[in-house]
Amino acid sequence: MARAKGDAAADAPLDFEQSMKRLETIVEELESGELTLEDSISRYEEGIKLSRRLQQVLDESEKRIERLVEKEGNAPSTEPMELATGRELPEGELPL
Amino acid sequence: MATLPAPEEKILSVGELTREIKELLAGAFAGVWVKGEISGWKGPHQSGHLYFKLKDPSATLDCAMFRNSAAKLSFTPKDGLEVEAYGEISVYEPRGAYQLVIKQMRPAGIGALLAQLEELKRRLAAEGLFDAARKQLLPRYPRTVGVVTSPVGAAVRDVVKVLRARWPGIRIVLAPVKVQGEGAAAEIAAAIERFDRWGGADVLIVGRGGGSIEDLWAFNEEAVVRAIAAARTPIISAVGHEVDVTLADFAADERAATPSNAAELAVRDARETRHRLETFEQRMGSRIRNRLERLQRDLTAILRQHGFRRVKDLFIHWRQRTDELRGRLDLGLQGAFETARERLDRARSAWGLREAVPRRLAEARTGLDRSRTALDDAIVSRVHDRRRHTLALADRLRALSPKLVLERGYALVRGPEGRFVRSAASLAAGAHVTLEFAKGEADATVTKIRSGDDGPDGKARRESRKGGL
Repeated sequence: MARAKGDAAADAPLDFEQSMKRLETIVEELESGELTLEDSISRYEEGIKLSRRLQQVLDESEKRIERLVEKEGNAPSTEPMELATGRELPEGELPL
Repeated sequence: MATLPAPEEKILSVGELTREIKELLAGAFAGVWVKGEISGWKGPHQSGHLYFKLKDPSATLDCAMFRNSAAKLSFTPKDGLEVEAYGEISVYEPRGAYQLVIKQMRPAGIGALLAQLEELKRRLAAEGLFDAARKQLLPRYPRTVGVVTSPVGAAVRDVVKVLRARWPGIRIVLAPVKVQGEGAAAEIAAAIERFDRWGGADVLIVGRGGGSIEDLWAFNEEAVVRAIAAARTPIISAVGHEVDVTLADFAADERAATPSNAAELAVRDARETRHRLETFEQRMGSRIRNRLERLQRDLTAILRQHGFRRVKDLFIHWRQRTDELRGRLDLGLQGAFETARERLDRARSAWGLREAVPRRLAEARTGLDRSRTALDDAIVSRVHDRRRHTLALADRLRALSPKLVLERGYALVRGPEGRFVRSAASLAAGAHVTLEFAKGEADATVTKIRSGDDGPDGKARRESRKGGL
C-alpha cells in the first residue's frame, strides 16, 4: 500500500521550485495593480490553486528509505531498505 | 689519590652547573622533531598534563606535554604507538633530569601523508577543481535527497532524522558505502557516479561522522575529489566535525560542518514554507477583494448617475475614449484627404478637370461620415460587451470568495428567519439554526448563548469585565 502511494506521489509532475516561483510572480503581478480585472481574477484563481497544491505536498510524509542499486548491465534503480540501526530509530522518534 | 688542582673561583655549585646545562640544552634544542615509540603511558595527569616516554631500541627520552598542547591532539596516544613529536628540551633542576616538552605530536607517517595531501591539493587546484565558478547552486525545494555514507553509525541516522523533521515528505535514497579503510575511496566515488547516472536525486550529501585524520582519509583521495567535482548533481560535503576539512570539502558545491548540518542545508523547513504560502494567499486575497469592492462602487455610482435610459450616456468614461479614437481617425483621414487633393490638383492642372474635384471631395466626405458612424456603433457594442463581461467576472468572484473561506473549514450560520447570524446575542437558547458548509448544510439547535463582544459597546463591556476581575 505504502509502495503504491509513494509511486503515485512520485508520478505527480509538480515542480515545487517552479510552482513557488510562479506563485511569487502572480503575487507580485497582482500587487503591481497593472493587470486588467479579468487577468487579476484568473491569476488569483491560478495562485490559489497553486498554493493549495503546494500545501498538499507539504502535507505528504514519507517513512521509507531507499537504496540505490545497479545490477549488472542495468541502469541504476532503487529498492526499499531498512537501516541497520532501525531499532535505534523508532517511528515515534521521527517528528512526522 | 691525586687530586686535580682547582682554583677556588672555578668551582661551581650543583645548581650553577645544572643551570648552565639547562641553558646549553635549551639553546641547542629549542625546536626539534623526534620520532619514537610511546612507552610508560598512564593517561593524563589530574592537572591535564601528560607525562610519558619516547623510546627506540637504543634510548629513552622523558617527555611532558602540557594541558594546552595536549588538548590539541588529534589522536589518542597509547603505549607502542609510533609518533613524531615537536618540542624543546628543558631541564628539571630539582632532579637534574632533562625532558622533551612537546608542543605538537602526530602519529608517525602522517607528516609524509600531509605533504602528499598538500601536493595533491595544489595539483587539483591548478586544474580548477576547486574553482568557485564550478560550484552549482543547491536546489531550493528538492524532492529527493541522495546520501552517500556508511549505512551504520550516527551520520546516516542524523541525516535521516533532520531531513524528515524539516521536510516530512522528502524522499531519501541511500548509497551505502565503506567510509574508511581499504577500498573506501573507490566505493564513495562509484556511488557518486551511480547517483549521477541514475539522475533521480536533486542533491547529494556525501560524508561521514567524526574520526581521526586517518579515518577521514578517504575524503582526501583523488578519486573521491574528482568524482565530486565532476558530478552533475549538486553535492554537499559533510565530513567529520566543524574543524575537519578535507579535499572533498573543497570540491563540493557546499560544505557542511557536520552531517546534521548537511541535512539542514539540503532541505528547507516545511513549516516556514507553509507560512510563506499562507502569506501569499492573504496578499492575493486582499488585492482581489479591494479590486472587487472598487468595481462594485464604480458600477453603483454609474448606475445611480445615469439610469439605463441611453446606453451611450451610461458609460461616460467611454465617451472620452470614443472622442480620442475619433480624433485619431480624423487625423488619418485628413492625411489621406490631403494626399488625394494634391493628386487632384496635379491632375487638374495637367488635364483641366475642374468639375471632378468637388465631386471627389464630396465622396471623400461621405466616406468619412460613414466611418464615423461605424466607429460609434463599434464603441457602443464594445461598451455592451464590456459591461456584460465585468458583471460576469464580479459574479464569479463573489461565488469564489465565500466558497474558499468555507473550504478552509468555516461554516455560515443562518438563523430562524433565514438571515446570516453575525452575533450570538441575536439568537436565543432553543433557536433553530442552519449551518452551511463548503459541501452541504446541517440543522442545529442553540443550547446556550454566551454574549459576544462585537456590539458597539463591546469594548466597554470588555473593559468593565476586566475591571471586575
